[in-house]
Amino acid sequence: MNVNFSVNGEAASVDVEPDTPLLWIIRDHLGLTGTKFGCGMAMCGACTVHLDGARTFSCQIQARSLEGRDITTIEGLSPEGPEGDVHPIQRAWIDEQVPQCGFCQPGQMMAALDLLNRNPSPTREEIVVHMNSNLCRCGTYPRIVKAIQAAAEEMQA
Amino acid sequence: MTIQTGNQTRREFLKTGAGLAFAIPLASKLSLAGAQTAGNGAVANSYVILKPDNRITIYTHASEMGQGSYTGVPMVIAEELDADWNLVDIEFSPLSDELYGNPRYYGFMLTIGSDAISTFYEKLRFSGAQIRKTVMQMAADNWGVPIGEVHTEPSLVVHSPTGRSMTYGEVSMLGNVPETLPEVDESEYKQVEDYRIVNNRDIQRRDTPGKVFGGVMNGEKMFSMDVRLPGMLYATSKRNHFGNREVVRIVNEDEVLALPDVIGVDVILDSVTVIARTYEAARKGEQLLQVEWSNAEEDARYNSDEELERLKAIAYDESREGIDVMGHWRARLRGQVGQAEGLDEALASADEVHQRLYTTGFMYHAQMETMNAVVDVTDDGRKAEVWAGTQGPTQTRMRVAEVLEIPIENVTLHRNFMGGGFGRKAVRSHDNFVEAAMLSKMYEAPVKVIWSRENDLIAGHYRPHGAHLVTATRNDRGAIDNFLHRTVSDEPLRWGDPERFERGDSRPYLAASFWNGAIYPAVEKFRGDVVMEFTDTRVCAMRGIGGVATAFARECFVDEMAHETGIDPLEYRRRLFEGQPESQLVFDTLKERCNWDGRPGLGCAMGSASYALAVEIDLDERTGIVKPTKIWAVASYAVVVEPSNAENSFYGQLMLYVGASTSEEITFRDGKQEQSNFHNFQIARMADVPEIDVHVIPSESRQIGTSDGPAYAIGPAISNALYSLTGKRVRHLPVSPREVLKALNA
Ligand code: FES
Ligand code: FES
Repeated sequence: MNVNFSVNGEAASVDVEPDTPLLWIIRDHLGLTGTKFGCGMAMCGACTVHLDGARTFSCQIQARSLEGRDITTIEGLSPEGPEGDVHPIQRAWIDEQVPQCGFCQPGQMMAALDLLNRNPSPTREEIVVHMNSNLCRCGTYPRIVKAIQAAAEEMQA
Repeated sequence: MTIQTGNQTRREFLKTGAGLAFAIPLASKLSLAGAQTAGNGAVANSYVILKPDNRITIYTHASEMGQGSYTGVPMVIAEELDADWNLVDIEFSPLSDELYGNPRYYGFMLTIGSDAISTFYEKLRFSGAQIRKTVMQMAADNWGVPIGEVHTEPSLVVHSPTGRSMTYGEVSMLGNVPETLPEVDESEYKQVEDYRIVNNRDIQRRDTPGKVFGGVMNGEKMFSMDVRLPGMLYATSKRNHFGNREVVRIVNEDEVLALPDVIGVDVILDSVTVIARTYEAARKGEQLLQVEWSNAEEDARYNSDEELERLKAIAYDESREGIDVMGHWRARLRGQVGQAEGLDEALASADEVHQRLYTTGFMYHAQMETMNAVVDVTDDGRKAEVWAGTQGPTQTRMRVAEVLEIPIENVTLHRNFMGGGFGRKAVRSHDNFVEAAMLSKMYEAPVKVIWSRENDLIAGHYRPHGAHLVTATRNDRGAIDNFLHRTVSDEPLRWGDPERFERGDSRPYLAASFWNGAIYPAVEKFRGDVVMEFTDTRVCAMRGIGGVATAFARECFVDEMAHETGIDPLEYRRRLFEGQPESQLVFDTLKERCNWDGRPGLGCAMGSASYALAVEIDLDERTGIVKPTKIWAVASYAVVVEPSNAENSFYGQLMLYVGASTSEEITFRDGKQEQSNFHNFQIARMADVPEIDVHVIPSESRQIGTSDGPAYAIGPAISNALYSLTGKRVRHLPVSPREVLKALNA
């Protein structure tokens, strides 16, 4: 089927099977590989993107429900890349030196941004509840918390 | 937390640093390498290339899977080179076992065993110091002054009396590179207190920005899973729950082939692959695919619980002789372990012998990035290009060349970053690469293979399960003086690297690891024996290797001995380090930091002679769920190469072992894993993070703190904490709800 939607503010159109997960549409059909695959069953959060402004597991969204919708991926946060205007979330992730292997981190940042969009100054408890959806096998959790707190301050300023 | 590392003088470290001395390639070999890598006339050795534009390329031999040595290796070199860190560009080294092979692993380029920096430390320092000495000599000759009159400042050679200077880039263009690069004497190395780069908390990992921007660095995809090539096909694979099985029949090949975009179903060695124009189609095919495997009837009777009972029985069976593995380990222990002679006699003649049996379960790496590969076979099958996240790049290249039956030189391998490795990506069979290479050859197109999480788990190579029988005696002060540790287990190397297994000095030495301080110095006679039990469950090394299991048995046992003798368990351990003040200080510090007062729910364990930790737990008696609420870790290191990264890694290891010690275990029922994905194989989540207090004591001795330590001591510490809370002992790792309930109801 042909489906039209927008990704990071740009119109996109793909011809795929109706049950194709958004994850593979983004990664393979559109070439935005910043969004990662970790489990394919809503258990790890590596594939987290924003759908109409709210976080979602892209491995769980099928092409058939995408028409006209608005998607943001990690590539959409700082369109000019590292040399340009860096999004406060990514800035905080660099300053706090969060990643180890880094594979889970795009999903972590997208989940974190969703939290800060709804709750600009979350408590530690609220951060933990919200971020519990996203696994990090390298165990960077303490730094993720720090980075979210730093980004929250930055975004409020 | 902050990892504190004082910068005080540590001449002792420099002196004993020689003990780590790297036996092989010094000047001649390094300069040879320089000529090979940078061309004639360049100021270079196998790790450093000085560029006329004043930039410096430093190679890192190690593969990067999250541990940080991509940055740490060049830091050590840049320090001795006296380089301006901002002028340093890092690159993965070319593939060469000759130049970058790990002497501990038969000279292969292997990033395993957490030694990317420690084993190479002397070589790295030498590489930097050698180039520094070379530019000093070149500049001095150019100025016509003795070398004694020049010194360096960051990336600058200075004539001390006149203040004249040249940048390293300018020197590199002088053209008077000596025929052979100079030798460097230990005394020419920098003093630790002069370090600017090593041990500097402000130095950030170079791979961070790329990872924060989704895995792109210098325009290249960092992870092989993200590599895309024109006309690329996608494949998945399905493998059996056991190794050494053959495909008897593909039950529904036609059905799979009828799926849109699916191109082929093939048998490649012991896996069945589905190749398609899209990944989603291949994955759908994999889910639909039904395969009949050889040995199915017998396999269906395999249960890991029963298997573990069988291993326990073997542990007690004296007719099954164990292999003494200490030949291997003692060589690395620098005399810190009691001798084995007379142990059997001492145990046989003792009035009282203490014996306990412990078991450990299968553990799965669960690296975040599942096994994958991109291979493009071209020139009618004569050439191949490989994109690889691998812990053993030369072995991967060799394997691809072997299955394609082409010379190694015809295989180009791009070294990708790994989304986690933990040992899994060192397994010698490199099945993911074999699949991609064979498919690319067959379908004459570039192929990306991605294993689903389910396949990654089912075809996983686990840390083997095992039984550990500890037999010991105590002296009149209650201290353990004779200690026999008998392990019954498969050997990780048998699957992980059969060649090393065959060549191993006292194989099997990864089933049970006894390294630095892994047994207390008070123990006069000690031996580790292994009884190998082979099965067809795939195994290999996993982070911490055999130390995870041996530490669990030892630390639970020591705790039991402490309680039996009525001595406080922390004090008991401290006494077992009598005469070793640095190790005792670790325990004293730990005692202070956690306010060790014998309160219920607090337990401790030793990880090594320079590492101990304590944990406090909560227990839900109804579900049997044990939750660590606070961890205190104390370590003693001389030099921490990357303090910021080491801190992150410290936390990370603790988190991995919190999960691996409580909620993660692979179990087989009726021939199949009972786990398949992260819903029933539960690794630690953010809500499982306890409060963590890490304290580093600056050490006068030998320890180089890098990014991996014996944080697996958390497993026995949890079991010991449970005992202090309930008076019940779980002698199995992980301390899972099932085991806890069993113990509580016993
Ligand atoms: S890949 Fe979507 S949640 Fe894991
Ligand atoms: S940084 Fe490796 S999985 Fe999170």
